[in-house]
Amino acid sequence: MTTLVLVVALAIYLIFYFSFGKGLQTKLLKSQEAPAAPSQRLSDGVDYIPTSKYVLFGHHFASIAGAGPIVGPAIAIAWGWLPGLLWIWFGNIFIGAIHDYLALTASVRYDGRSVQFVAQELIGKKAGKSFGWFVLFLCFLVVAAFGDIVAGQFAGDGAVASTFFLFCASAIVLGILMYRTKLPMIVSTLIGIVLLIASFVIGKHVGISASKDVWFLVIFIYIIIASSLPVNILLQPRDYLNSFLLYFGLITGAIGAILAAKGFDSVPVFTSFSAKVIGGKPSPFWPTVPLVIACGALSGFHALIASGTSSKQLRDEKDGLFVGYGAMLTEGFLATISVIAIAAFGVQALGEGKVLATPPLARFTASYGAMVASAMPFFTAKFMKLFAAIWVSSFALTTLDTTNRLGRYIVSELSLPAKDKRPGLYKFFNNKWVGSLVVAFFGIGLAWSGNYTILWPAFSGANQLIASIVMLTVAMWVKKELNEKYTNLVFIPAVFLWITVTAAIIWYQIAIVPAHFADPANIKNLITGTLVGLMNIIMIIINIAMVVTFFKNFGKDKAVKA
Amino acid sequence: MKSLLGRFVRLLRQIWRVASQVQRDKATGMLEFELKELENIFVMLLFGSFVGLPTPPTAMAFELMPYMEEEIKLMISRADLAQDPLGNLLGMLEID
Repeated sequence: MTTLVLVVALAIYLIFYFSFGKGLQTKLLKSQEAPAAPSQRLSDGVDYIPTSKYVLFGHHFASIAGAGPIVGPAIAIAWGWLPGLLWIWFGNIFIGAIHDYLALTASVRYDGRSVQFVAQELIGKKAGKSFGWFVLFLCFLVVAAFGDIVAGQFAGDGAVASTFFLFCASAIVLGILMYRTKLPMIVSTLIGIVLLIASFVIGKHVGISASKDVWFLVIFIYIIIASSLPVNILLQPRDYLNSFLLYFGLITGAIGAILAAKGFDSVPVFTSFSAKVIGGKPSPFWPTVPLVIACGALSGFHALIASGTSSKQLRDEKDGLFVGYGAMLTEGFLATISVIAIAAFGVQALGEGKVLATPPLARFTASYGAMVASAMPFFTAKFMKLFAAIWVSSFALTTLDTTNRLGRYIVSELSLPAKDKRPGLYKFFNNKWVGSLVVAFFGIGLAWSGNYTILWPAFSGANQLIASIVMLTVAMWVKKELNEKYTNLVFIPAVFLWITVTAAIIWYQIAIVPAHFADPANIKNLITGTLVGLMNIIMIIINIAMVVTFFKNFGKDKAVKA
Repeated sequence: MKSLLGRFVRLLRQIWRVASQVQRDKATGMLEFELKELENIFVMLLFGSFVGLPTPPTAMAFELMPYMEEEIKLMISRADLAQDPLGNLLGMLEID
């Protein structure tokens, strides 16, 4: 069954890539007739650099594939293995990949400007402004959700914590070797990989035992320091080492799934339509699935990544299919491996009847370890479980401090209006330590008060709202600038996604948030309910205002100029 | 048979070249971004008068001008993309 599902996934992805994807490229976008890409026309050696599509694919995939495609499917398995898998496949093909590909191409046609700019041009200023607000809330919620994931991993297994900190030390040493010595890069890399392996070997035997609250404090301090340090000290070399974890995890996972050849006997095909997924409350599969499976099926962040740098480096518009559509399908493949591991090896790793009772991430790490070990016995299940935990933790922590960096920048931008009236206040918020502290305080504060089964859907909601705005933007672009005949190809998935995400956030606001106010003595719940509830209300208002503007302009013949 | 083997070796070489390039870029991407920003700030300090900023003595700035071709290109590129800093940042930072 594992082999069959993997082969079916590959077949579906390949068929749709060469039929649907190619159809979009030749019939809708007519990329074969497109003028030279901005990387050629505006080549400046700074931002616009024509790059090989294979190299660009590598960049793009490494940027979009983090902990997201692993965590979401691991949570969604509570509905059974089939619903999540179907959403990953269909969401990926009909929404996620189209979203990434068209956002990338629209950006190319707008001279490499980001999708935020395109939205502002086509829908109006409101759409452009919405992005800024959603990204700010995303920063808080990402730090919250991922902070709780990491603290939980560290508290659950001290070896994960010690391995991670040894991994950071390895990254610092690698950074010194790469940027401050004249060693060839391949030699530095090999030393880095040896140190990485040593981190696992030593970390396995030297666990650091501490409570979750202590880890919250450690993570709080860590992200403030890590996001304020020069990038060459930790962030850059650690990201570089992270990419090796990603390749190793993806390759061993795929080989494990193919060679294991095991039935899906750990999780039912389908449990119930309203399984207890979000915050332990009955959660209807529709509309709440996009609040659970974010990056494996579709993600608003991808459009911002695609149109931020990838579009400026695309050598030829035709390469967009491989980079945009292809990378998203590859991420769907990673999400598929996550489902396969739990569905087939959950019982073997965790015991009979314990799979759905185990926290989502522990489900994945233990099942993944068992799957790889069964196919490749020279890897022990215990070692691969530790590897999977580090894989998720290191990506989550990378996300934490990069988000904190971004949040710091947004806080500084938002304080700009105070520059003339209150220069003291502006100077205060413009300080990098204060900016870091604000985002870390809200994010980790939320993580401490809530838990990721509550916070993850809130983060996903904001992320998928961005995706729905991007989809509506590209639908508008198709109608007004490309070929009206094909509008529904994008418009129908866009409207479906918008309705689904909006309904899901409203459901979350009605079903999940009020429960936090049931016990006024419970301070933690009050903090989570108040902050998440407020962010959701603001996002819903902005979202509806944006969509009203969209429909006002959708009927017009010409795009609105902001 | 020989040509098939040769083609296979060429393919492997190509894969290695691509992987190596991706990894090199991954090892330097953020540093390059930061360097660009620092160079942009430097050129703004020197030739800020173009956009209304107070500048160092003009004679000194003009003396340095011939050496600043790349930096000025960068400043113009930044001026063009400054409307859209979020896209630029998100394209570089990995949040997912």
